[in-house]
Amino acid sequence: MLIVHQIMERLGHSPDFVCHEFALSPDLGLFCIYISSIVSTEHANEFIFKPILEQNLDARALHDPKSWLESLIPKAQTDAFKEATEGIQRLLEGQCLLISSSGDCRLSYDIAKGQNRSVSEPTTEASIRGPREGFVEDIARNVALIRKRLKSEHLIFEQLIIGTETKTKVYLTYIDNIAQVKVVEEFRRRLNSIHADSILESSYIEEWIQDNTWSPFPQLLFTERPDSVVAKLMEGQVVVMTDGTPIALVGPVTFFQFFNSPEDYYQRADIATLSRWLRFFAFLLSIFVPALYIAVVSYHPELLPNSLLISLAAQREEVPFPAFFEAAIMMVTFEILREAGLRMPRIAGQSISIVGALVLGEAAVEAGLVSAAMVIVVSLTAISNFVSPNYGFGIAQRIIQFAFMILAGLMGLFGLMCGVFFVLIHLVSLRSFGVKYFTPLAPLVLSAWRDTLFRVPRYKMKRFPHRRMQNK
Amino acid sequence: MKASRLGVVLTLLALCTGCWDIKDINTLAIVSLAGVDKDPKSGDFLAYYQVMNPTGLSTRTGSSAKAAVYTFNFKDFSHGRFTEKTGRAMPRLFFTAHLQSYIISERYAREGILDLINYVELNPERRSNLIIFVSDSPLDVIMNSFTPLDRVPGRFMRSLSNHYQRNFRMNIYPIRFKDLEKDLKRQTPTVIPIIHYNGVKAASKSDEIEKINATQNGLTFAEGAVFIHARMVGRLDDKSKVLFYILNKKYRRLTETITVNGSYVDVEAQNIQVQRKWIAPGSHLSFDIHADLRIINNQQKRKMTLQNLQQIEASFNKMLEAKAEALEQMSKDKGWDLLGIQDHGGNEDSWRQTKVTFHVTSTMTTTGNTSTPYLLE
Repeated sequence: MLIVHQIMERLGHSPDFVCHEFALSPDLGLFCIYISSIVSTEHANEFIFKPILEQNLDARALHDPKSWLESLIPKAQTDAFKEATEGIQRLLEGQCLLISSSGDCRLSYDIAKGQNRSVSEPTTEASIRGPREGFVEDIARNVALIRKRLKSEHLIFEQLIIGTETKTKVYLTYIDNIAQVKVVEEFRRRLNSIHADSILESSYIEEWIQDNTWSPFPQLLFTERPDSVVAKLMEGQVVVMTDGTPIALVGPVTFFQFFNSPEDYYQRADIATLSRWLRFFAFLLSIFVPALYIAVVSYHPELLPNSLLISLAAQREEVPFPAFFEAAIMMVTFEILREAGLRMPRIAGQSISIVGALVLGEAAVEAGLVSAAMVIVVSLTAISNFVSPNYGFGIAQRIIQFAFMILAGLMGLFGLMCGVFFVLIHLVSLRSFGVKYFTPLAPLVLSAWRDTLFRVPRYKMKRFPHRRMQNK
Repeated sequence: MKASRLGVVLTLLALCTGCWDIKDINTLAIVSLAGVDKDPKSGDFLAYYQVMNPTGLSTRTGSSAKAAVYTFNFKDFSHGRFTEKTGRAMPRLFFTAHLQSYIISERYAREGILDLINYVELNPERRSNLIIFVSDSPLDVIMNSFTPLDRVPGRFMRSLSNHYQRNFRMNIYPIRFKDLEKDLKRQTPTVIPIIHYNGVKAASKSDEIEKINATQNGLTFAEGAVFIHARMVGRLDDKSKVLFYILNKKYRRLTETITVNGSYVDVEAQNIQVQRKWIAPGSHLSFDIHADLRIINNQQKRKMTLQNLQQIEASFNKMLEAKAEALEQMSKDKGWDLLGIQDHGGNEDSWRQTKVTFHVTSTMTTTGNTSTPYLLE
C-alpha cells in the first residue's frame, strides 16, 4: 500500500492519472495505475482488465497473486519492479502498473500509445537513387530500421537515460568488432558525464559531447537516413540515437567527410568523384567569392584584367557604398530572406521569393544601390552555400564567409590570407573524439584518399577499417 | 593567455595594412596610355596621360558620357614631378597599374631615353613589361585621337602588338622596357615599332571615329626605330625589321613574293630555324636557315609538279639569302650590329670585317587544294 501512496503523492495531482482499485476478494485487492493520455485504453481493457475480471479466483491467486497475474496477461510486455521511483518512471513511459494490496506483487505492463508519424523520405537529405526511408521520432522504430539493414550479432545498442526531467532514452550504437574500443569508451564517458535536465533533441547531446564548442565546424555529423547510419557503423563510427528526434549523431568525423553524400555510393565512382570535387569547389567559392570581390575591388584593382576592371568600374560608378558595405548589405539581406523563408508558413513562401528576387535582383541594381556584379557574387555565394550535403557544415561556411568578408574589408588580400591561415591552423588543431579533423591531408594518409578526395570503384576499396580481434 | 596572444597577433596585423590603403575602383583615374615628349629647347618633358572613362566605355543604356578616354597633359623638367602634378588636374587617384603602353616622341628617342628607363624601373608600382612605341607623328596629335574598333587607344595599340606577338619566340614581342634594359649593355640593337598617324588633324572627338574610313585619321605601325644603348640611332624598313628579328632567332614567320618562271608566287615561311656557327672564330660566321613553306598565291599557269615545287623552294632560298646579305651589308655600312656579331663571339673592333655567309634551305609543306590552275583556252 505504501508504494501506491508514494506514487499517488508524486503523480496523483495530474488529471490524466488513473488509479483503479479492484477488490478481487476480501483478502486480495489490486491497484491498476496508468496515465491515460499516453496509454492505449483499448489495450488496457483488452489485455488487463478483461482477463483479470473475467477469471475466477482460485487458491493460487490468493496465495501467489504475482504468478496468477503473470499467467493472465501477455508475458512479452510484462516486467516486475521494486521501488516506487522505478514504477513512476514506467508510468511516465506509458506502462500500466499492477500492484497487489499486500504490495508483494508489482508488475508493469506496456500499453503505451503509439503516436508516431509513419516512416517517410527524409526532407533534408533527399537523394535521386537510394532508399527513401528516414528515421522517425520513435527510437524503437529507428532501431528496427537499422536492424532491417544490418543483421549482425555484433551490432550493439547501449541504452542510456539522459536528462533528469525528460529521462530521454539515448542509444549508443556501434559494431563491436569494427569500432575502436577507445572511441566507444570516449563516447560512453562523455554521454555519462552529461548533466542536463532535459534532452529534447540530439543537438542537446551534440553540444555536450563535441570536442570544441567554439569552433564553427561541426565535430559530429547528423543524419536521418538509416542507410547512411549503417554505412557509418560499417566504417567503424559510433552513432548516438536519441528518442524523440529523427536525427542521429555520428562520430568521429573528419573535415572531408562533410563533402560526402550517401548518394556517392549509389552511383558510378567517376560521377561520385566529380560530384565531390564540385562540392569542394562550391565550398571554396562560397567562402572566398565575396571576400575576394571586396579585396580586389577595394585594395587590389591592379589584379583585375583591364576589361573587367573597366566593366566593374562602370557598374560601380553610381553605387554610393564602398564594396564592403555593398557586399555586407546584400549578404545580410539574403540571410534575412533565407531565415524568413525557413520560418514562414509554406503558403506565404511564394511572396518571400518574389520580394527576394526583386530586392536582391533588378530593383536594387536599377536603384543604383548595388552593382550588377555584386548581385552575381551574392547569387553565386548563396547557391554554393546550398551545395554542401550537410546543413551543419553549410552554417560553418556562412560563418567563415562573413569573417573573411570583414577581414578582406579591413585589410584586403592580406587580411584574407590571415583568415585562411587562421582557419587552417584551427582545422589542423581540431579533434573529433581523438581523431584529427583534417585527416587525411594533415596528417597525410594517402590510403584514405580513396574515399575522401576521391571515390574509387568499390573493388578497389579492399581495406577494412580497424577491426577488433577479440571476437575472432 | 591565449586571448592575450591573439590580441597581440591581431594588433600586429592591424599595423601591417588597413583601411587607409583602400583604393576603391570608383576613386581611380585608370591610365591606359602614357606619352612622353621632350622639348629640345627648354629640355622640359611633356607627359600625356590617357585616363579611361568607365561610364563612356559602359555598354549600359543611359550613360551620358561618350568619350572613352580623356587625355591630360603636363609639362615639367623632371619625370618624378608628374605624379604630384596629376593631383591638381585629375579628380581621382592617379593609377598606372593598368597602363598598356608608352609612346615616345622620335625627337626624345633620338636624345636617349635612359632617364625614362631608370624612372620606370625605380618604383615597383611601375611595370617594366610595358611596351613602347616611337611616334614619328606629333605626339599631341596621337595622344588626342580616338581609335576605331577599340575605343581605348592604349588597348588598340596593345592589341596591335599582340597580333604580332604570337609569331615571336616564347610569344614575347621584345619591345618592352625590360627588353631595352637587357640590351643596354649589348651591341645588338633593339628595334621598336614606329607608330604613325594617318592624317593631320587629331580625331579628338568620339564622333569622328563614326566615319567608315578607318585608315584615315587612324594609327598604323610603320618601320622600326633602331635603339642602341637606349638611344634611337635610325630607322629600319618593315622588311628589314622582320629579317632582323628572324636572324636574331626572335621571329619565325615571313611572307615573301618570289618570281618563278616569270610569274608571281606568294609564299609564307613558317617555323623558321636559324643556326649560327663560326667557321673561323672571329672572322667567318655562317647562318644556316631552314623554313617550312606554304603557298599563299600561285600565278603560274602550269600544273604544280615536284620539279616546280623545287623551283619555288630554290627561288625562295636564293631570295632570302640575298636579303640577308643586303641586311648584313646595311648593318656594316651604318655601324649597327644587326646580326649581333659582337654579342656572339665577334670582335668588338673588327666585327665589320667578319665574313658572314648565309645558307638557306626550305621545304614546301603546304601547297593548297589545287595542283592544276584554271586556264582559258
